[in-house]
Amino acid sequence: MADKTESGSAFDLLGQFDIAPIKAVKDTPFEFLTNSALFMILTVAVIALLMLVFTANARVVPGRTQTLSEIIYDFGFGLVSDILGKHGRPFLPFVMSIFLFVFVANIWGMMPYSFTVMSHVSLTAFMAIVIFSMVIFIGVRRHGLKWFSLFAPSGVPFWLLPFMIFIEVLSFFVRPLTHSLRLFANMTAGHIVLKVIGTFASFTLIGGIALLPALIALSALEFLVAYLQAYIFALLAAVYLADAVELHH
Amino acid sequence: MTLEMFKALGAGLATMGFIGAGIGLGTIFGNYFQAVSRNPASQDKFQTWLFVGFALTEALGIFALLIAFMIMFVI
Repeated sequence: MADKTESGSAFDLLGQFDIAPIKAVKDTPFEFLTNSALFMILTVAVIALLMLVFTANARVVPGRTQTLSEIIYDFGFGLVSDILGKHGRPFLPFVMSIFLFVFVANIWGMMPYSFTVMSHVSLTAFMAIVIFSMVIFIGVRRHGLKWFSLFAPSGVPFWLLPFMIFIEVLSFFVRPLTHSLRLFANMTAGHIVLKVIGTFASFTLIGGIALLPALIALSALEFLVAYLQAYIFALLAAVYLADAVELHH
Repeated sequence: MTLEMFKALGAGLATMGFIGAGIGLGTIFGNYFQAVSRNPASQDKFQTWLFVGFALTEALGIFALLIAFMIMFVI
């Protein structure tokens, strides 16, 4: 990431997020592949390796690879049962898929010369809108029109109720906006910071040596952010689904 | 003074919304550490909701970022 890009200016900060067709597959049936699509396929491949291949011949006493899959499964199970309780069991695969997809995509994005899939708001917005529609669909299907009492909190004085309903409806409809923008903004901003410091380091040899500790620390921070944002994305999906599964009064 | 300059100025000013988000996040994490140091057994119970609060507070900062993006690229 520290190298100067081909497009001339050393400070081409957003060039790393360009979606471009892959040159190697030109004039083949795979011409539709862009770098974004390629890294999404790689993400799914890693998840399949973790979850399907490693548990292919599962034993009662797990080996090394099976233990890894079980740790990941336990993590997702704990997340869902904390938020959704025992009614949330059917949503475990959905929340797990979201967490693993975002997490592995973010980790792929930390590899040098790779592409950060989650740095495009079109993808994160799509995921957030799917979750948002799911909440409304499941809520209405489980509770009927009674589900809309979600917007009227109980124990509020009647003269305050119109304002409360207004605020609740508003805060419900900005959910997909913040849900998608959080992931997109965190990944984009983190990679731009790395690029800025990396570009400074690439100017002179002494500067590069002096900035090496800062770059290592920032990369470590980016790995933390990659995990944390994936966790928060899945956690918020579970929290939003909890509104649809159970009505609190 | 051109429109471009005012746009950059406005976008810079819009990011000041992160001051509030920063104060809020400091309060959340400070209170979390205080609660856990008083009662270490409560750590697991609070951790999930710590991140929910973190995300909801950060959302307000993200609105400010959104305004900055809109000033720079949309208007």
